[in-house]
Amino acid sequence: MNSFSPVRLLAFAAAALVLELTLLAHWAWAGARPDLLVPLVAFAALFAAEPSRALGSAWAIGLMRDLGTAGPLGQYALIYLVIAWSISSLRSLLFREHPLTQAAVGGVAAAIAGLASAACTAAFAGGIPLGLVFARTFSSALVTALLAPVAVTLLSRNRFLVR
Amino acid sequence: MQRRRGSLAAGPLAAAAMALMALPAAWTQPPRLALSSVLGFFSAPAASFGRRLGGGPTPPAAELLQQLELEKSKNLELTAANARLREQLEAVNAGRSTVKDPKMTFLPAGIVLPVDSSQWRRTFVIDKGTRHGVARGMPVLWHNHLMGFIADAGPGSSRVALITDPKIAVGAMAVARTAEGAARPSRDLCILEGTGAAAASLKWASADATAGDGATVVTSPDPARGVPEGLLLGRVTGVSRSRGPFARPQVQPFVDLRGVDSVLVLVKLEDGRP
Repeated sequence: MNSFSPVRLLAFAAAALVLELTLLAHWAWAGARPDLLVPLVAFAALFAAEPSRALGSAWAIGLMRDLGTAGPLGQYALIYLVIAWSISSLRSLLFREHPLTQAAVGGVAAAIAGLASAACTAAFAGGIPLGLVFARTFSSALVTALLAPVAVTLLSRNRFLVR
Repeated sequence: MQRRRGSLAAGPLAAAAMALMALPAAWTQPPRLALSSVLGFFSAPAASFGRRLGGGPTPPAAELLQQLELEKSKNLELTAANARLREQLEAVNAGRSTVKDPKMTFLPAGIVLPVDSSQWRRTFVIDKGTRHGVARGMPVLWHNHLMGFIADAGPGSSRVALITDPKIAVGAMAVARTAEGAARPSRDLCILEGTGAAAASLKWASADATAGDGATVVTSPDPARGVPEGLLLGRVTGVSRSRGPFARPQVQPFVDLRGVDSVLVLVKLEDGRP
């Protein structure tokens, strides 16, 4: 019942990434771009029949994002894996069907992804001003929190899309 | 039980991610750049298809009219190609006015992907790579503006780090305006450093320096990296003064990547070959 095909989900993630890098390439709110892949990671972690399936999907989605960046390969794979593992661990405490839960999970996950990737960039490339890190992470988390219920509800109510 | 199984699965995946992170960029970037080029190749027809869909259906017409339309479209294509070539020539001429060294040549390159998938990095992908003589560290120009440097080069495409990318630092100097409005070059050398934001910042600029609001920032000569003197970097849009002896002027680049679809890679010729 609570299952999805990882291949279909990865196809969705690839389409979302293409959308983010082409049509939405120059769209930003307060300097932050919405993270279209975090809601998919949240969906995988909230609705996977088995945690291992959610973790594998999150890792692969992260690796997909790694393909388009100048940062080290594996950075987003690790970040999304940790996010999926945290959500899976807390799943029994969450009312996953509620849009507010989905928004909160999406927003917090985007904030964690933003802070962790900023730390990674600072370590591998060069320092980023702290004010910028917090402002951009907050904006990105807010936009992703708004997007997450739409994406998660779309996928969970129309499971044939990813089954 | 399920949670335990999840933890067991997370371990090898985390180890695999960390092993990938430990790989040198020279190994991981070429396949990534090749995939980015493929993505760029496929996204171009998709965008064109989207534009065509927006234009509405083609009205039925007689064969001759259709032929006329075809010829008109061919003419438009030629005009567009002519305009593009003229723009490239203007860009090369503008670049040549600053880059005097005859050993330096310009390699035009188209932008394949305009953004980095990480919101903290400011890079883009171009359609020229090692096959065309591009190598890591080469400066990338638009007219006589320094856009950035080649961060990684694959066989058919390369990634350019903009001057606002956190990994980029370049020698710079401010050209302040006098009260009469004339430009007065300053020898107060400093470092332009990217921060990941839309603006870069000047490091080691002395507090009494001339890099005030509105000053133009240009490159200082750096023969080791092949950066000539006087390439435009941006304009000072604000100065944050701290207690120390150094001010941190914010520099807004003149060029917005949104309006650019081709750039010039500055290639140094050795014995007439790149």
